[in-house]
Amino acid sequence: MSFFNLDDGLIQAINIASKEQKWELLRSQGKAIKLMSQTISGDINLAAIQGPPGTGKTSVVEAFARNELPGFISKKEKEIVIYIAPTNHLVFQAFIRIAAELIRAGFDLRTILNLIRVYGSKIRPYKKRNRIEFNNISIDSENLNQIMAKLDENVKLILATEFQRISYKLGQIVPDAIHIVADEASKSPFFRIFLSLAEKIAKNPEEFYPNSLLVLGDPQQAIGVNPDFKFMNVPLLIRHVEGILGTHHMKDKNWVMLDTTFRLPHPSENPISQGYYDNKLSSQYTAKERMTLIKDNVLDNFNKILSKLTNQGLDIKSNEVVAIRNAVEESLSSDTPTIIFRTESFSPGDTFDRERVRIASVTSAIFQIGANLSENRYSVTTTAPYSDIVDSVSLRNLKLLGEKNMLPNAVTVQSLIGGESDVIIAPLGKEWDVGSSYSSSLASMGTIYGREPEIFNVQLSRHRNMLILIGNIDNMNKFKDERIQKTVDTILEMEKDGSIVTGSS
Amino acid sequence: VGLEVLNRTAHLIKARSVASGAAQCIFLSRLVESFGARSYFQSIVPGKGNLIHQILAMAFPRIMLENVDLLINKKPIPIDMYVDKAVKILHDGGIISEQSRDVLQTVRIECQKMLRNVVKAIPEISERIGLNLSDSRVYTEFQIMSYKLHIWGVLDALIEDFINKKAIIIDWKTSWQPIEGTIRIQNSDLAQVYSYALLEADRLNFSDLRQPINEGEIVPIIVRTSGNIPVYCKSAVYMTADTKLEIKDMIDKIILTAEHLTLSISNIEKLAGRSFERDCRIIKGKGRMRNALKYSPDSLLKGNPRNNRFPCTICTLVDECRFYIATHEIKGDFENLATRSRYAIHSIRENALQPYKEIDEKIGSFLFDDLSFDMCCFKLDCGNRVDFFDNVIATEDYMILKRAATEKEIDEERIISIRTGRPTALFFHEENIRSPLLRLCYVGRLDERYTDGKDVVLEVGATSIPSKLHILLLKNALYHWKDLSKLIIVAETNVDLTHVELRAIDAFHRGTKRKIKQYGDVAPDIINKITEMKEKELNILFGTVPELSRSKST
Repeated sequence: MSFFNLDDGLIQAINIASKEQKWELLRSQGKAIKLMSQTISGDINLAAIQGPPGTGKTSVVEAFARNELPGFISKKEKEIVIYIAPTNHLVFQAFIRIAAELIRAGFDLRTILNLIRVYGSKIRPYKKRNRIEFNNISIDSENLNQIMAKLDENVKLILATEFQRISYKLGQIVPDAIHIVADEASKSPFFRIFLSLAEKIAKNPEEFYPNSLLVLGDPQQAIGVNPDFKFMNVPLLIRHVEGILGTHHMKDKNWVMLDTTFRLPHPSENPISQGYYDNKLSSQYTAKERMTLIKDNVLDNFNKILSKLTNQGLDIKSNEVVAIRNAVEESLSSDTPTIIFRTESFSPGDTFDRERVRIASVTSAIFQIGANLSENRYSVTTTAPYSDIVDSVSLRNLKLLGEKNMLPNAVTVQSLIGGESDVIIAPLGKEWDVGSSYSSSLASMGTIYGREPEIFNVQLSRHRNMLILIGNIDNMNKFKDERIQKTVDTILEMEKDGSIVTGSS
Repeated sequence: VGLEVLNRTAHLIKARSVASGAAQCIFLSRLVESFGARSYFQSIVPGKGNLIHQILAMAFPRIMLENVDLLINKKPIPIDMYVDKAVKILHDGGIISEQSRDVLQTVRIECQKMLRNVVKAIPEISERIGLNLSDSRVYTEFQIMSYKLHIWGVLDALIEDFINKKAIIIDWKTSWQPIEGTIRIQNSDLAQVYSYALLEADRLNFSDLRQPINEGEIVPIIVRTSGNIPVYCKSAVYMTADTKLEIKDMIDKIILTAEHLTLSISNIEKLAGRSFERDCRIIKGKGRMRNALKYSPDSLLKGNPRNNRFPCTICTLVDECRFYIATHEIKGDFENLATRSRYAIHSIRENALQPYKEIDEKIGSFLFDDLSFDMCCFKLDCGNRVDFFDNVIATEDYMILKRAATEKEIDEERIISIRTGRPTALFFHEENIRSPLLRLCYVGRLDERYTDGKDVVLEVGATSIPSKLHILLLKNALYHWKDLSKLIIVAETNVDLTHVELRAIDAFHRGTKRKIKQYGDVAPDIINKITEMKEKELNILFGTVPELSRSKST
């Protein structure tokens, strides 16, 4: 089991706090921070922030911690904020960012440990007993243990994973008010926010029923949702909140969508903006601004890259490799962040496609060797909806680059949610659909994008620099889901007008 | 129809719930299994009792296997040494963290006492029932799932002589907090250990599962630290407890309770068809329609929370029972949303268990050996994969499995096996045990899979402290019984956190309802004001069901 150690987190927070940071909040982010403050101060009881890919949900939490948390902490009332996230990683990251902001605000380490509790199945106070010293305050393992201990009257902020049962940690403490912030709550069923305090709420709702709830998430990225929730018509948390706010005509006031992505370089955000966000999503950065680093590394070193691949046994004169080389060169020279490699349609009966694996592994090897030759490394990741493809790309990468070199990542789309990479190589899943996604029995038979159209959105929105699509994209506008249709139509239009490079073998 | 549903459903009920339903009150078990009004989670809660269980799990097999002659000849065994050794292994393995000297000393003493008590009783019981200790296997924290019984249990310890079909089942009775005097043994404790005995009867392939227990071939015992009866046993061959409880009747109730609880959370319509579901409806009190298959059988013990008589007087779930069981409230949108959410969770639970059900049917239906099966990865109907390995090593953190790569894998440069990141169950080779679900098993997570071109290797790691403890226990078992690693069935399973999800629905349902009532109880002259405030500010977050939840979209 790999753990997240809070002593490491605290050291990272100290490092972050020591660096100067320029804050420039966009309008929608400013509105989101205001909504968060109003929810936690109790002025608003129910609100939601929709954060499409890379729009800075975490920055909103960070800005809140910087601007509003010190005031909340100094309140005399026994109020508690519970921040809930679905993974240990997210909770750990939230701890680092919040601790960093509190350090910046002048709080000493011991006070921070008094104010915060962190709970997660893979989180532990420390790995080895090391002393941490900062600004003349020294903390040891005993102080660090406190951060995962039961609550006392000083605690104001609890960070926990969804399935942590905080009821038992509360002991006899009865807070004056409980405020819940549910992060990345897109795929959680509506009732899950009651989980952390379930025992207390069921027995004594008068005292423990949450006073306010803020949900951060994006229903368009809700992947891995159990089909039984859909079949039994059980709403997901963010949809339920949207429904309640809609019923009470409060959506205008209590719902905000962050509309600018800091991750995706323009124009690569256009397909998902059209398909999934009613054309309301725009990019803060252009491809030209972003691609310089990769461009220099790959174009300047192309001969070295090909020579390394030849040494590893790859036939660089084959039509396929030549086509990949040409497309990559064209894309980098023209600052076009998206490439499409067309393949045969995915065969039924398997979740493996040899052609896609080959193209993905060669492409990722080219970018990774470029990164390895450079001092300013960038990340390269292959992401597909099937683990059979991902695992095979990993195996081939190992063969193409050798164990001693830095290898590119290869992960499923489902496990990449919330993550990002400079270069994303995206072998598509089955491009054809069967049955309706609303019938439980047929849903289990449908192909992956038909069952969960949100997977396509996530796969197309993880790149900071370049996106390389591999598959039979032309077939995809036959999907019943309008979001996929619109996204694919936009991709094909962009390809026609030259803002996407076509790789042809 | 009931039998049809039982044959088709993948649901299994935890032995603990079955026990309280059979020996205390069936409504209590239904509140736990169907409504999530309370969940049993003791095995993962750190504390004194848990620590004792971990030490005993580690020390007991070693004592039994390394001292057979001393045991048979009733000579003294250095139990203190084994307890110290177990503490060290658990500490080095990161299972137990730093404990205060006092707690650890108390725990050591309790472990030593319990082990002395059990070591004294075992040779005598073995002799009486004809269990050969020299050829017996000893497993601790041993999971058994039975679709014959629809029960899922984790035995504290098992001593089994498969050749003679005899077994002793041990349940350690500890307190979670320090208590004065002796821990009382309740009827539900006895029912729990008898549920385990039934599971063992299935493992030993008895056609009538009651028979070996009634005839003293399988002996369940409860071991305590102190008291007049430290080894508590109701079996005729080693009767130490003198209670009026009729064991044959209890066994019948255990079987009936397990079936009833299974039916109560099964989707009858899905499993038996809509027309059968309708045929089974009956009219009960106040004209309400109920499905007969979901109605609690009259022969099972049940209280009535409105009368405040036994067993409700000792029950901690009376409020919950009044809310869910003894209610005739008309259901509105809010209640329907809670009910639909529970149905979804029950269905998710069944899907999570589906791979086990299929493995039981597909592999457990015939005796499995190396030659009778084409050993290559295949997909179950539920989509989960099953693969076969012929080499396993238990390290500190991983179970490492190895098999030769297939021709297809070499040709296509890929691995066709369990998918990385999936919860994974390993069923070890026990030739004579019918179903893999009844065999020694391990559940972890597939952290990594790789190939060197010739072999495919999987690394299955621990997901939690109990899962890490299992690796250490299996290390010992694999060392003693080499045949266990002859052929290992490896299957993708699913994460099941539905008991916690049900708890959240309970909090939503009862919590929101009470909160609404709190506003309703205020003086009538300000009700309108409160209602207005409620509408505007949504003080009760989920008190109103939005229109969206009635539509088809989520």
